[in-house]
Amino acid sequence: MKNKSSVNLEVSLIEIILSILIFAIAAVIILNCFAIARYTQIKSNDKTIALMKMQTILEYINSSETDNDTQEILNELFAHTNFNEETNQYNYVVYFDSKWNKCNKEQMEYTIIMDITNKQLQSGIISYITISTKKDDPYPFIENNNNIDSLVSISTKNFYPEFEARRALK
Amino acid sequence: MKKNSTHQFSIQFIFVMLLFLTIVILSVMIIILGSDIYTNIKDERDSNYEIRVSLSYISNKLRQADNRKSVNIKTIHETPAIVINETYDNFNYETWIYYYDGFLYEIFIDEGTDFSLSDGMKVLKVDNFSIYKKKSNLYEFSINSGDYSSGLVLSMNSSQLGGVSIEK
Repeated sequence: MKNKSSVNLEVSLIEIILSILIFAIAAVIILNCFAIARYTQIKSNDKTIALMKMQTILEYINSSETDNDTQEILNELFAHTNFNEETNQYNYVVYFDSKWNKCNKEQMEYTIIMDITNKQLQSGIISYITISTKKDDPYPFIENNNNIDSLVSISTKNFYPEFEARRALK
Repeated sequence: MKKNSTHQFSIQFIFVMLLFLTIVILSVMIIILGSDIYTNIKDERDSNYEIRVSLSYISNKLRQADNRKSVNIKTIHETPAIVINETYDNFNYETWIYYYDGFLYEIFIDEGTDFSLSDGMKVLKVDNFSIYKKKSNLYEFSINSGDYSSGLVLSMNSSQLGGVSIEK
């Protein structure tokens, strides 16, 4: 009796296991929320940089006086150019790596695609411009492979008055 | 028998304590992980905000002053600056936007008035800011903040003064 020492725990093993199980479920949910928050912030930063890049391209178009000037500028800015004669549409593509530096297709992380359709009007040429940025791989936890939307997409128009074209030709 | 029952109770006690210790350690790890993730999110959000807001601020300032010969790039105390010329009540004024000591500064003064870089008003905190005039109506700005850097090209509808004038 003198040397007897024991601890009488009233908590059974099953209760402990249940508490660990509840803790594990809560931890999984919390870790999932942490990951979603992290990648949402990364996506937000990518959207900001993509918008800056696209705005830069559109500002170059805005500064040019004729559609020929625009095509020269875009040929320098974009790596690939295609022209569809059926739809009279120009398609420009440029690739960026993870740090938003221009790169080739093998190293690409982001792609900026621009489609321009020119239409002749009585007083000049109007260009219908659609520019969008896409990410090569979906963002983990917030996107899946079947639903990769473009990061940012802008549709706009630019008009080249006829008198500007005549002056540029002189 | 007494020794065996005592020994069993000790083992059971140690096992239960180990389980509780595991729960505590895992809880602390999750808290530390969450803290690190939140710190990273906050830092990146701050860098994103500084770049986006500072470039938007400059582009809006220049678009408001989109008049002929109203925007120029000058240098003061070896620091490049954007100078916006405005006229109110037949008096000429200048708005200088420049980078100094880790901040984007702005100062509104009479035309030709001398000032020191610290006289301006702090607008936004940035790590670096550069200006480059590509054509008579095309400007390029770049800003660094943290690990992020971004550039913006701005086209003015009106033609501005050609070239870069260097003063002081």
